[in-house]
Amino acid sequence: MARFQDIFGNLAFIGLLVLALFSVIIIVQGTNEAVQPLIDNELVSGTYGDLNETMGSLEGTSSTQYGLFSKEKPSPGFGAIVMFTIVSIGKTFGNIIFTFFTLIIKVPLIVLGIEQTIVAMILSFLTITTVIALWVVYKFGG
Amino acid sequence: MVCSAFTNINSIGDLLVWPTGCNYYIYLIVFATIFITLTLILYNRQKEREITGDLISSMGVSSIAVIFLALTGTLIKNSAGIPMVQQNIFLYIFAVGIIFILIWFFKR
Repeated sequence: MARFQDIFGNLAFIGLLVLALFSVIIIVQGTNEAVQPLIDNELVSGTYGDLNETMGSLEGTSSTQYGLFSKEKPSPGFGAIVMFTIVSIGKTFGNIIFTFFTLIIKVPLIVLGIEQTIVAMILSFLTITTVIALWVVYKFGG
Repeated sequence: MVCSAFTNINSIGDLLVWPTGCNYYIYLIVFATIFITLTLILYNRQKEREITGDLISSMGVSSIAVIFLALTGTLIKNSAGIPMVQQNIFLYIFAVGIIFILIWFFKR
């Protein structure tokens, strides 16, 4: 079973890699005055913008969640320390996982005309894996 | 498949763009062939080194290489201003590349 930080880390790295590819393509084509630059495509420019925005907001989200976590006073539970902010952190970063996936899969989905059922199947698998990984984080703290 | 006459070839750009007049998807086929060859070379080299090879990671690495090759192709144009790799062909290559990168990272 994959750990939550592995799932998040992998998707964040894919997002970073795809964003880097977009950036390289756009910069190289712009510098060399390509006849048909990829940024002219509405789908690509939209995805690039959204991915850039999501990646950019990640720092703010992380620092907000860390702020909440560091402010909370841990209360003693049955054989453990209870900290409720971990649930908020899980919810926030769980949502980011789905945002990343939806953004990355958008271009292949539209360009290649992949069936919606295939994406739905992958998404359901990702949902179950994320929920179980989050439950492990809530229960055992990592 | 009707090809245009092999005339007015004054530069390397003209020569490279000429096959797209015969078959619009020619460079898609060319890059698919490069992708398969590169994947198998990487896979076999890894197999020699580590006994077992990882085909998915070979495909991921090859797809990045092919995206960069196709990017170079978008910059080459003929005297009429037609690029060697046209935008929708490049978009196909890019989309397939993303799929392989996704599979590669999900497998890790």
